[in-house]
Amino acid sequence: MLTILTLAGMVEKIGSSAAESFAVFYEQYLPKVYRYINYRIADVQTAEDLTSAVFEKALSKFKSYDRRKAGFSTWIFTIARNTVIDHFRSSRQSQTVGLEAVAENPSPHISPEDEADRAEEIQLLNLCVAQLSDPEKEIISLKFGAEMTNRQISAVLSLTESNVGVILYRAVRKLRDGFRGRQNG
Amino acid sequence: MGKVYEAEKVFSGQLDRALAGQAVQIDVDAQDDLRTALEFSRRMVDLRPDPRWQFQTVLKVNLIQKLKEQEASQPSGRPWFLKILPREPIWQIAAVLAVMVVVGGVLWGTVFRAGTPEVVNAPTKPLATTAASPTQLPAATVPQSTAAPQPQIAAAPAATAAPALPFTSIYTAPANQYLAADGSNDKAVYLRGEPVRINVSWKNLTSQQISIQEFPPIVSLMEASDGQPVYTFSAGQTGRTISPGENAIFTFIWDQRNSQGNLVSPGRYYLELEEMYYNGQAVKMNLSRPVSFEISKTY
Repeated sequence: MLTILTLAGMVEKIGSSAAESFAVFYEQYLPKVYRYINYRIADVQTAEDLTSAVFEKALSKFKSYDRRKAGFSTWIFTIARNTVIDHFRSSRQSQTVGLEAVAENPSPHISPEDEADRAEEIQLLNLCVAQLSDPEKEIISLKFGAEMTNRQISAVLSLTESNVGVILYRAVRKLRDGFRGRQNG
Repeated sequence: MGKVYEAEKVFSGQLDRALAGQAVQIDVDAQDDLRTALEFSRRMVDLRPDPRWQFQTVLKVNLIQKLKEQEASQPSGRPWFLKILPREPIWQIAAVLAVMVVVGGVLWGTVFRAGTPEVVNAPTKPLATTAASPTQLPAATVPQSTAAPQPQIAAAPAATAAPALPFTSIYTAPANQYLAADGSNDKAVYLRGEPVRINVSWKNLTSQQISIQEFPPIVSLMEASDGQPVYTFSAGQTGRTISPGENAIFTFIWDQRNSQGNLVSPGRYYLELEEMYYNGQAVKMNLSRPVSFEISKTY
């Protein structure tokens, strides 16, 4: 049985029913963590493996999380970010961009033709994201994947909030221009 | 430079709205650069990938299993006498002070005053409502007007009447755990148009009564593909008091129609409980088991 909790209170309760609390945490953060990673690594299988790794790390550290030191969102995305950095360090793989992300997760309300168009757009977008600088990629991932506010991103990346806003705006305009260019070219 | 800064601020604000599922408000006078950046970012929001359903389920099961193994292999963290103490240091200090005041009061009443004749009559009001108060003064010195602070149950309706908090409780601890919600539905796949029956129960986990002002609370049916609500059941008009350990059960019957009265599209849907409030604080309700189901294409 799952208990009602505020997010901040969830960790407080962890001592008495960790499984239930973790389930709440999982439901809330899995899509965001996955999307964050998928923005950094377009390969679906790798993104899933890294998402699993993030949650396993979070699970092992869950009891030691101190909400007075960092917000929950900041905490989990710091783990996610470090996991992605470790992956790049160890594999040195170039990012791959595949259509399987969409093909394996089709929307029930979209026709196959529209689905193919969508897949193509996602692929194009991934290619454009890959062209951004590292800080831009990071901010795009935290914004669109993790759905963080500029203030939260500034806490994770140790930047000022206004700096995050400037980089974000610039990155989206680059993506827009790159996307248009590739669509027309 | 100022214009760029303004544009970046507007952009960030509107993007946060888009990410929260709200409509993006683009000023007709906005610069073309800003407008197209916002339109593109809205498209990016739509193109975000979702984790595969199977991946989510398998990972969740694995993680819960690991967590249970961890719990089983570890001895209980805190000894029983520490478990009754709150975790926050400030509350721990308050609890220790409260115990000291109560013990001091008892000692003062029984040891130091033993053998001396009673000067003042015992209070006429029962002390039950004040007994738990750590700051209670000895009965003989308490003025009548302040002898009995109002119990929480009496204060609750007045305090919560104004901004319509749907959830009040006499549970006074700084707790974040009051009710456990559970849900189930009768079938995994429904024909199109077939009524969907969903049972939701709210169990009182506390040792005192909980009063939900509007029962049942608000629940929504969400479309799994985009996480958007398709139909919301309004809160009930009457209150419901749930005794300790009791399960309050309500059956929702959904005719597969959205809030405009149209049949929803075939696909996967799930139930979500709206936030409830305690002392003005939002408390998100979550189901222990996700209630999700499929609506088939066939009638």
